[in-house]
Amino acid sequence: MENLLDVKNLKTYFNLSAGIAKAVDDISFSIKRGDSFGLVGESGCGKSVTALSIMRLIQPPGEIAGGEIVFNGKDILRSSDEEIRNIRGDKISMIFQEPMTSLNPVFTVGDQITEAMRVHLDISKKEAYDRAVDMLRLVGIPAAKRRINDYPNQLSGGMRQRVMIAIALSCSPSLLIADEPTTALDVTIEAQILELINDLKQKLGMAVLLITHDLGIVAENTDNVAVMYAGKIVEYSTVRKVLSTPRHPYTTGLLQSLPSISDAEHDEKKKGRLNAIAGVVPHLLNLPGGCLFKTRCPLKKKICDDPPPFKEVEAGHYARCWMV
Amino acid sequence: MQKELLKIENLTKTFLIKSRMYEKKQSLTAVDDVSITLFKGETFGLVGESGCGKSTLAKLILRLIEPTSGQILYNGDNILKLSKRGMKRVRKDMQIIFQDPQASLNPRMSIGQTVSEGLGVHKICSTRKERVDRTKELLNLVGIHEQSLNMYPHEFSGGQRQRVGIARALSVNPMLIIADEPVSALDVSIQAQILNLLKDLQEEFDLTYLFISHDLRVVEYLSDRVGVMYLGKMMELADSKSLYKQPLHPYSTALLSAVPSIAVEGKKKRIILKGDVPSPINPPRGCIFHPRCQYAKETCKEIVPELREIKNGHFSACMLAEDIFLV
Repeated sequence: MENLLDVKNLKTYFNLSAGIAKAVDDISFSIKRGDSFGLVGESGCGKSVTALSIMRLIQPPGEIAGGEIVFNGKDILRSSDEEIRNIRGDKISMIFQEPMTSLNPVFTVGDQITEAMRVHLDISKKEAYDRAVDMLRLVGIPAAKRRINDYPNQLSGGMRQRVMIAIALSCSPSLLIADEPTTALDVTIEAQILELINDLKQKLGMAVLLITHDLGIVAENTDNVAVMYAGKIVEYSTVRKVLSTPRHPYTTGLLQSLPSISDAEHDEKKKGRLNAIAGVVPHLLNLPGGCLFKTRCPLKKKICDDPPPFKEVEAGHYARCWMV
Repeated sequence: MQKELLKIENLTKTFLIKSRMYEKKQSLTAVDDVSITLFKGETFGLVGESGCGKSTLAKLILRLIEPTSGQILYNGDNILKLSKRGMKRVRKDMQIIFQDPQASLNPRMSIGQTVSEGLGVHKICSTRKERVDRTKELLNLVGIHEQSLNMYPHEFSGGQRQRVGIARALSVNPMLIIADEPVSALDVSIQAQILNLLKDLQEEFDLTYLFISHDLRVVEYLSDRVGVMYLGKMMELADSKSLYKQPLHPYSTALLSAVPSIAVEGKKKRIILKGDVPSPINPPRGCIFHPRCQYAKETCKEIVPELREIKNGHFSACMLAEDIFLV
């Protein structure tokens, strides 16, 4: 199957007075049509900057310093602003973490859903309105006809996120970027929203780029996954491989630091210490030379002072570590 | 038998709120008839979704807000009857750690000042030297270099700030620490460090924790007993082991099944709750959970179920608990 999106050697840098922060430094991954791809990592690792780069929404002092983003066979980074506007919100759309701040408080939900359709699709106001009602029904909002005239403040957090999804899907995109879509929501609502995204993915055949810090969400909702650390991808493979046989010490550390609810180990495990990763993520302006993870790595050796290669450790499973 | 440290009896807090101008005030019951007993040295976990009354309960216990009715017994004394001065003594014994370490530290005080403030207020150290020494000792204890004494909160990362918050809570040698979502604002790898720290400190100083969180994984890891709250009411209360093995309330079952699991093999069937948490201003009649409950019967819409013991030490506020879970 052909790739819908190919990110090749993407570099997004921020030129700050204190120096250049390499928020995303030479990352590559690809997403197939209809697939879902997970991007995991802790705050500041460059997940969201990657998403914004794909949407071409990076603003000064940030800039895309190099690489290619090939979407549907065309390099987005070399497209004109006009072309990008046609893709953005139509072929690629995005939902954000905080549904309150990403909706406009002074417009009704209906206005905001129809806006994208009126821009991208050649349809009348009436048609757009009818379609917006259908979209609200699709994302599971009861009494859609009435709700369409509501303002964002009249909706709960979960409802707002549903509206965001309705806006994102209104033009049937082929790629949906979901940046921490459930982080601001309660667990039971989180489960509803993830199920909704999965459902719609099947129905509409779109691909999903799911950005999250929660490995559990990745495990249940994606096919392939890349683990990011300080602007680089440190491990990349199918979800199954990354979670069952992690090869990079950072991935291993992340998995071990999660307290998990598991019936089998419930009795023995009780109350041991968690295997936390020591230390903190290095500052982007003050990265260690060589391997970026060496300051926190339990396996650190002398060789780690040189930048490790991104090795294929088994078919389709890559890790950036000297020790694999 | 363990010693009872804190006993909360039928605690209720009703806020009067006005949602629109010229409208009559409406009542919102944030905490509704909650009773919990905390034994010395244990960790009691309190879980629930946003708006279920977890944080209100924490504030009530510290008497930062006054309850509408009910009793709070600390070491057998009803603290609601204490004078301001008497309360000061009790406050020394009960400390709180907040969710957002950024917002809960004063940006204009150095961390040394923040940590040592309580030492002066409660007259724990008499001389300046003693105070500085004790502050350094506390910082070392939570894993912050003692030379950071004169640094300000903005110079620290989120995890370190949370450590400062913990040092401040420990400074007055408390018996009970209320931790209100202490790790929700932190990254996973840092979260594990803080959980380990809390655990170590508990062992060292024989602390009692009331640990409030919406994250069931974290609560399970830390707690001896767990209470599940929904819309201000206690829905289930049991030993952590017993609750996670066999929850006896449909809400707990759904909560547990909603947690995303990293297990790649053997995916369990999800129970996905319909709808949102209802508004606490106008809660449903009967069992407050019935509109979202897949087992709800006609009687659930009429009769308010009581929290009752179903198995040894395992309480549930579901009147159908036996029929659903114990067949």
